[in-house]
Amino acid sequence: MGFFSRMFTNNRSKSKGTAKRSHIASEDRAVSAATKDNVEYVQQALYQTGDLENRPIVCSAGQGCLLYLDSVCDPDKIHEFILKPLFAAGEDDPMSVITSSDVQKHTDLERAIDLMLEGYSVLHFEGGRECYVVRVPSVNNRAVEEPMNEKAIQGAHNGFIESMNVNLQLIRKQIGSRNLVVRRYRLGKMTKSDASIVYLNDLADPKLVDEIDRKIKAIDADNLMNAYMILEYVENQSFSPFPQILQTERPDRTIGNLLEGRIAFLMEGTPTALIVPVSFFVFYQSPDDYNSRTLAGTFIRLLRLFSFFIAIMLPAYYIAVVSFHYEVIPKEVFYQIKGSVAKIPYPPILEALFMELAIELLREAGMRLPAPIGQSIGIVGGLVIGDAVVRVGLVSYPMIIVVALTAIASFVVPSHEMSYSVRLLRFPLMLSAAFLGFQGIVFSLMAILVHLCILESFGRPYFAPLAPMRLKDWKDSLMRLPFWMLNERPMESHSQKLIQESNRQKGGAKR
Amino acid sequence: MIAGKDKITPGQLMFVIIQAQIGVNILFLPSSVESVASSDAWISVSLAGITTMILILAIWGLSRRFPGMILFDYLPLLLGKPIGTIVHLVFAASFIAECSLTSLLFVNAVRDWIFPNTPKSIVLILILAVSLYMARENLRAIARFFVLTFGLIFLMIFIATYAYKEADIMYILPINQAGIPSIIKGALFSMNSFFGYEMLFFCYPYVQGKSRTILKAVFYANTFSVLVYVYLVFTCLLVFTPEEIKIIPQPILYMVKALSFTIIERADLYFLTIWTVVVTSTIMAYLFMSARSVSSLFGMKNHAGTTPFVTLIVFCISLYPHNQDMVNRLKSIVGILGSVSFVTLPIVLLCISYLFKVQRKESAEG
Repeated sequence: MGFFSRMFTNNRSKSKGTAKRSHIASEDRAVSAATKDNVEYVQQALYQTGDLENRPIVCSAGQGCLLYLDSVCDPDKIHEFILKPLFAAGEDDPMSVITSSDVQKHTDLERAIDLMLEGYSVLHFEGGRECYVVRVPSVNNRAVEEPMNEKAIQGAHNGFIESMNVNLQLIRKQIGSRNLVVRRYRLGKMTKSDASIVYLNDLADPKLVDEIDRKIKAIDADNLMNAYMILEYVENQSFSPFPQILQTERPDRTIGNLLEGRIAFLMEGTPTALIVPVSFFVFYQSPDDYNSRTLAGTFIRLLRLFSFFIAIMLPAYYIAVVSFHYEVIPKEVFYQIKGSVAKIPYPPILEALFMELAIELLREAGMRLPAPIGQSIGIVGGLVIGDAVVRVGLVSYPMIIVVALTAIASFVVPSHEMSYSVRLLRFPLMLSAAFLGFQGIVFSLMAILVHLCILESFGRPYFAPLAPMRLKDWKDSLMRLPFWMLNERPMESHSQKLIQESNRQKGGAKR
Repeated sequence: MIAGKDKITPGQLMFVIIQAQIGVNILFLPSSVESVASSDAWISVSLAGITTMILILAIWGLSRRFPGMILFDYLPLLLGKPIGTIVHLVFAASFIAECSLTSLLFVNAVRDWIFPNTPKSIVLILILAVSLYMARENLRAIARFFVLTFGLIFLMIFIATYAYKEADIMYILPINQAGIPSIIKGALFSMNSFFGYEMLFFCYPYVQGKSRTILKAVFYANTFSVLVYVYLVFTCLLVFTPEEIKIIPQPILYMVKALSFTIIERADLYFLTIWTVVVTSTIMAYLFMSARSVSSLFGMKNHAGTTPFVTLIVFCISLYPHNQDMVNRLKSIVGILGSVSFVTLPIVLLCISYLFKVQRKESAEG
């Protein structure tokens, strides 16, 4: 044990040292009366960085200097909000002249430097014991477009972008309630990224809000680049194959979940909202379900859940049948399959593993390449290799059918993380089927089911409403009944108010 | 005393009891009872089910007098420390023995039907590992799993129902041809199929709701189990001639083996697969009970720590018998232990509780 612990901790002493050296001094430094001293101090504090701009100002308010980082500041705004009004005004207090929405007075230069990194410019006048800090960030957002990986056929076509404020705006625009609360955080000792949790005060479970709040505040790391990293910090069971947090780039999906009493986590730089607590079935809901008719929505949703079983079980079932229980195939089919399978030199498990890995490779390759080449990879891989491999006699035709069906079924999941878990779970099931046939499959499936029964997403049962069984919640998890019948919010999000519409009648319903 | 987090609903209790009761004996019950009560076997099984109701009533009456406590909390109160510990040991031994026997019968059936050459230990390790994973958790998680897999029992019944194509009512007529003594003897033989209701000892304090609702839930559960068993035994009696059943050890499997559907053949393999889940839930329930009893023997509140050791003991016991003779010996040992701790003791304890007026004071529950 000692060996292993040393193996994992052997560079701890090294990292401690660096941590100390890179520690940013945060003792107060009063603003000096001489502008030159201040400028020099700032230049030193930022290690003579190249993007630090220094613009001397001489106007009727006095002699001074404007400091800003031109990489994060917008020169048009500086001109518009600071320079123009300053030169136009008389000897008034600059506080009353500068027209930016955020002007602060600071006597501590260190604080001013911290703000400079976020797009503030610092203005100091000769002889003053304080400086003016004006917010002039350059905003460089991409358009609010439909996310590539979560397309909806009908319904809203907007998506989150990398700017948290725009994302918050997208949410607030839809939920006009004053109960919508945003709690802001600043995460990462070095990166200092903005993050926030969003919830509806009258719906979300306050205990859960506090727990997430505590967990986020407890994160003690230098770098927090994106929301996915936070996810791994706050998740309860990192080694479970199932995702316990829903990631979505769609505002409508986020809003729908907020209105069911869930909590969303947003972060600057990540076009994704993380939603907790979620159950297994939330991953199988798609905004499309709600934009189509009840029967169609229910059918599609059941189809998706069915695809889960196909995706994890079909290869395993085929392997079990071919290697152990060929008696279960009816006679007529048996002769058909036997003709193809009997000539293959390898056991079915090797065939299956080979083909599954080939499909995974194709998928990974197709994803990285630009769209036109990606397609040709699909053709080369799918058609050419698939056909050749059978002709050579390495893999049987039924196996190709099984693997292709499995791959298609695993694409059906509307959430990416769940699709990864489905792809992963397939392999243990295939192996157990190769060892013990149906018995092997049933033992692995039971292990997965037990895991699902035990697993909790932030203290809420993960496999609800199947375990614990709550038939009422089936209305909007396994099925999608008409909106006027969905009178109650699902239990598993533990929202404070269960009733979401009181009138059962169709005409009188809110929608 | 018991946190709201661990509580289960009366509905969940119902499924827990059903899953604990219905287990391996689905396969073996028809022929074992038939050998005693011949074509009146289904009457025997019903009788056994009714007797179980009385035992459930005893357990319920006992648990009701000690609110918030499981069996082992009030054994010392009833019997005093030394005798209480001995009875506790008997209970623990019964649970472990019952668990081992169930695993053993399961593994033997799997080897007989699917994998004659696979070492016993491998199947045993698999089923015990899955059970261990579940049995370590609290009652609530276990209840969730049991509710989830409950539907499979219907699937089994559905497969069995197909056999009515070949049923012949003449096989069970005339009723009562074996005579009442044989029927009662058959009922005694089939009692062990209904073991599992002891789960009430452990569940009672964890169930939300009034004691009457709990009793109702357990009654429904038992009724369901009795119906399932009687139905399956009845079906076998109708399908096979009395001579046939005597020869074949697992009549239901032979029955469904003959069935042929359009897209699948050999329904017995599917039946066995589903049956595996049902048996696993029984083993989970018994592992849970064994672990609970062993941990309270050592005064531990949490049973997660002892479960692996209990599982190891169960593994060793069920690995040991290597021929039919030893299996039969284990069966008779379990029969004795079971009839002592699951049949006699509940009634005796209830009598003691009433005669000496031992019960938990209501104020203590607070």
